[in-house]
Amino acid sequence: MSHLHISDGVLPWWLWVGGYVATLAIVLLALGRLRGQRRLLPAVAVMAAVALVAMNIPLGLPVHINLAALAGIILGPLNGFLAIFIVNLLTSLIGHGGVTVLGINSLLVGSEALVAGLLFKGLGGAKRLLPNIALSVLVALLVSTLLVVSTAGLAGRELEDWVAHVHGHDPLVETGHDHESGFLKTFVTIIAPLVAVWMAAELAVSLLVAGYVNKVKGGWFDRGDSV
Amino acid sequence: MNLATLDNLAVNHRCWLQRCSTLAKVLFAAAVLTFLLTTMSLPFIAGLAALLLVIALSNRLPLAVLLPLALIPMIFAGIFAFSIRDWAVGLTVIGRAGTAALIAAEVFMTTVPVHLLGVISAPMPEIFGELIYFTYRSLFLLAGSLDNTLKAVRLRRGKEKFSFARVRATAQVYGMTLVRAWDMAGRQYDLLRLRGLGQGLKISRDWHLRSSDLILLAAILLIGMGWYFV
Repeated sequence: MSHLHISDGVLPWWLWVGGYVATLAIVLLALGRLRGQRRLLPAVAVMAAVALVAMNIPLGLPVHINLAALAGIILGPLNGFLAIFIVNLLTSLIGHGGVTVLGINSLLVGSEALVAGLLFKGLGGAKRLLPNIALSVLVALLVSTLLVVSTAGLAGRELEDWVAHVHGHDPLVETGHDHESGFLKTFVTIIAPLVAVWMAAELAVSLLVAGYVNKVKGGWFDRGDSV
Repeated sequence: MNLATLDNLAVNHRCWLQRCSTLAKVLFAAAVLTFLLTTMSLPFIAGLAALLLVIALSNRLPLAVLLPLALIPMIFAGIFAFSIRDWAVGLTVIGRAGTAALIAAEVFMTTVPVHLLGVISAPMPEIFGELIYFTYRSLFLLAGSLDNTLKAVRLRRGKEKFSFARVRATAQVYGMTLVRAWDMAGRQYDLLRLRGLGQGLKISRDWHLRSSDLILLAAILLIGMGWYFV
């Protein structure tokens, strides 16, 4: 879920270090491939720039769009992930999403580019443009949301341990119910309405953008991974 | 988030933090984050945030720009804090998020972006430096074009509340921006090939420390003592 830019100091160290390791592995793989296709370099850069400026366009809703799934469809999964990593890096430098959690934030948002890019290609690409984009974007957003909830679950477990440490007791023993699921339930209850609005907006905008671009530049999406 | 304002401050704002070397500011930020993320002491976090505010004020950084940047991560951390239902841990989590955002924003607002991006991209392959530089450059070209388009849309459609027609119009603006960006990418590539892209174009990095960095070293020592004793 692109709009929960996790901040510094929320996640346990092993989670954000793991996030950095996984993200850097994907980024280095993408950079290695990009070195052999230098003509794509400006395309990745401008896609990252488009995603950044897209965040600033007001929709009249309490969410913003980031076009990560569309980046994966247009640039291919790896280059799309790279573009999203750059977006997250630049926003983390101004405090929007933490510096230490850059890796995990990039994985969460970049997963949309990876999943949508792979799925769009697997479904046959531009043969059935709008249905394929709709399905790819929808699955990508669901996967990303699932990853956010899983990350929150892990963070919740750590925060519960922290509460127990601060108060010098075991909360599970003290109250007799599962605090972690309590944390997760509250978390999901808070973010669920935002996620629903964001998913609808991201899906609608991705489809409308693809339709517009296809109308203006016919055959644009036929170019596949080598765009 | 107005990157143009931040970029203008980073390049043109004259203050003592601006005179410190990029490397020293990055190391200072790393030290602050290390102390911040290894403490559970709410008074220490509050003291650190106060020190960073003093640094901002002594550098005449506009609080109207700085504070919203710290507030947004605090809201996101607030979701975690509220879910945990413990005020002490919740406040600590929110305090950490806000303080970390403060230091990141202060460094960004007082460092020429090319220098900052140069230091950050140093451990990565050379192509990453080029990529991040292109993105930053494209950002301002696109933002200018987007501002004009949005102004035209507002003049045509007037002020309106949320509607499907508005989402559709916005999506067309996204689409137009994407198409323009793509055309620009081709032109940029040709231009940058002429300027040496892929033929040994180097990102210049300044690794020198300056005498003005001593104040940051003193601040690290002060924060370190606070971390140890509070």
